[in-house]
Amino acid sequence: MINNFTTGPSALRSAKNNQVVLNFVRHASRGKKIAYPFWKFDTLKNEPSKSHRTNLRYQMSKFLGPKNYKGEYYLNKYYYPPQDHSPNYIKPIMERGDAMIKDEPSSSSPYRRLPNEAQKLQPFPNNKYCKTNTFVSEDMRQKMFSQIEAGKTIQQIAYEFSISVGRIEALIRLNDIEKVWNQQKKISPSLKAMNTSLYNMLPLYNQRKPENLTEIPVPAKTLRSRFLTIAESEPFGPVDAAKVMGLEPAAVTLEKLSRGHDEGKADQEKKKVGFFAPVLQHEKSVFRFKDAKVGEVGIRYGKSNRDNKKDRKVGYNEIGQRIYI
Amino acid sequence: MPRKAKNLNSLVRGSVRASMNKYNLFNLYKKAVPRFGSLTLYQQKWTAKAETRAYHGEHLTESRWQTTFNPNLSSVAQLDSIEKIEQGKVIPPTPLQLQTFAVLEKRLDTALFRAMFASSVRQARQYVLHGYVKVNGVKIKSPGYELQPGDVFSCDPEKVLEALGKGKPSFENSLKITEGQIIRWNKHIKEILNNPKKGDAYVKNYVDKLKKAERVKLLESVKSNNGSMREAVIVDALSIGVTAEQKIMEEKAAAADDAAAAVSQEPIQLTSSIYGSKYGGDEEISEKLLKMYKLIINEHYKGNPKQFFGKSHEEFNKIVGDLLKIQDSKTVKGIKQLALEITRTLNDINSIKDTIPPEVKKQVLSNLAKQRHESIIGKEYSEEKENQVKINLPFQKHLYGRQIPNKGYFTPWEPRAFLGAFAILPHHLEISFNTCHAVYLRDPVARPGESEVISPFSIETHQRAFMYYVRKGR
Repeated sequence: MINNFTTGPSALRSAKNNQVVLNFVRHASRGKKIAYPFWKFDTLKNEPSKSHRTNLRYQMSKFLGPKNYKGEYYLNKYYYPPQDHSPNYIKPIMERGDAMIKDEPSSSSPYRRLPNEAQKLQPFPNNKYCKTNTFVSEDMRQKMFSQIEAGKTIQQIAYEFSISVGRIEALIRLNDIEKVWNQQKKISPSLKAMNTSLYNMLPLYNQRKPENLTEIPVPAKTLRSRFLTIAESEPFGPVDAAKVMGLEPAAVTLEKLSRGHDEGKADQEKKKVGFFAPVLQHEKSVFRFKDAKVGEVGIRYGKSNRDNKKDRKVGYNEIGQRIYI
Repeated sequence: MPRKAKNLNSLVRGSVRASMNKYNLFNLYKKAVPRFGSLTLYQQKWTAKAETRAYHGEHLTESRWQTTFNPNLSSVAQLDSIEKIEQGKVIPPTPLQLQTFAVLEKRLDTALFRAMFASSVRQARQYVLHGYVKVNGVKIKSPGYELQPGDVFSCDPEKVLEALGKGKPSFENSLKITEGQIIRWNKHIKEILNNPKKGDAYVKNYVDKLKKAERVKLLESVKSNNGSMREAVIVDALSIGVTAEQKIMEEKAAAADDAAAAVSQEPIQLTSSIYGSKYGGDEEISEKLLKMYKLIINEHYKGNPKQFFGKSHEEFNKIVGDLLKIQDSKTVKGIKQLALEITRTLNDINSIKDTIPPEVKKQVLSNLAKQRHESIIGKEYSEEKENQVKINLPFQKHLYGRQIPNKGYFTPWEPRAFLGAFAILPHHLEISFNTCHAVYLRDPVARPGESEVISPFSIETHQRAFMYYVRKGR
């Protein structure tokens, strides 16, 4: 076995599973390990001394598989995205480097586990808490929109389909934009192809697994301990605790959340409107007066300068330019 | 300024990045579950921080990240969990530590990547800087713009198509691949012409396809009039039959010139050919339609077709609708059965089993022989005069991947390699790919058993990274 590629202590440490791993490490430093695959893999053998192939590249080429004349890794099971609303996320723990499409289903080994429904929605093998969201299907969206036209409120629809109010509002806004684009014929065939491809790639919302509509943000005050001296015989329940912490009842919070974003915005727009001054004789211009707050317009004499601060506050003006506040 | 992008997808380093790159896929694939057991606490925190930061806000400098970091992690409580506990259900723990990097998801560049409008966070950042991104209709050029709940952001569709689309082949490569397609196509024709078995299969397939296309058209035309397929068939059977009968009666009445004689005639014998024109001349279907018509008229309406003369299509729809509502009637059941059989035949391509006459076969094969394509290699083509390259393959009328040569992506559009492994729909955004717009619903939160922050790392890693950043004296 040729061993002229390894240098330094990292080479010794990289001997894994009784294999001598051949790899060229140019700046091998202490403490840094080469990120070899976690499965037991075979190494390159009888490489010519001037070859630039490395074991990692060799493993990667084995993982990707052969290319066809179009340059596609046609045998890799992750190359072509799925089109049946069932995601095909990586499953390295089950495959251990062998990601080739098999003719027969993986029944060759009776011990090989197949992913269950929850695992299918998990994009990363190490993080079981991360799951992909689902698309609201085209049919369901149309149903919602027709019900809104028929005069139902968003809250009623949210309850019927078990989808949060914010999401339904967003769907409506996006649908409005789509309508305008359709009228202007801005949706090109390529865009349509992309939309269908991604729509078919990702799972659809199933009402049997509804969204939880009773969610409220955990109040920051409840994340810390608070101590209070009370008499031993005094009853003390969650309502009392809320009173001590100055929290509103959950029902109020829920109602606020279900109201959506629209109302706040309407208020803001109203405030912006100023008034036109009456035009006096010989005046050439019409003067409009807007409400302004001292400190928000112009620079006030004696105002402290924050430009040497690391976390200097920034904002954006009406035309999207970044300004310092 | 961003951090330098140096050797991001190194296989030796093996860091997982926020990117849809193929090297990144292998780095993610080969990543081992980190083992913290043999490390000191500080080593654990350091490795965890290094790993997570290589993915979350990798393009930000450490000091920029540390000023953004907020140790107060947000989560949601579910009010119905009290009920669930009373029912004896187990409430999974809330993975609060996965929120460590949640503040970054507010950033415009990260949100663009999460909405799949760019193939990496760095690319998203580039799109913002180049002015392809708008927030609420206003062009924003700061990648660090913090989105608020309810904001609508959008990206130039051309850029999104480029990011998610397959790479466009260069002119030379495309010529080579198209030549490969031509060679394979010619070889395919040769095989069909030389091998009688394959020839037969080809002709059968060809004829079947034609018939199927006709049937699909038929299905659509039938369906377009009415909602349900079965009902449509029954309406057609009744209305066409009634019109035919009326026509024959009138003709006979005119020929006999004697109204009294026409009335006293024996019942008219209809033939299945009356259904020919609408149902594509398929005898099997026509026979069934006639049988159904007779069932309706003779059994259900006591052999009196005159009551339907001159009725409109809507009226027929109503009559059939009422008819189908009748339960426990043998006749109605029979009609339904027949209608079901017809719709099945219409849908079922396998039912085509006609023999193909030899002259048709000869014609089809000679047509195929004419479709041989000549080679395009050895001719002097140049990229400037790309439209001079004439391709006439039955499945492709242009150079491979270059239908519209001035686009930056593969045309007609196809998804990029390994997109399926990276396509994750976020919970905190609502996306419309038709318009390349998305709505920022809320900051991502953690709830029992789930975190809305998309991260490839385990909760143990995030926990240690969080511990690294909440240290005192920061």
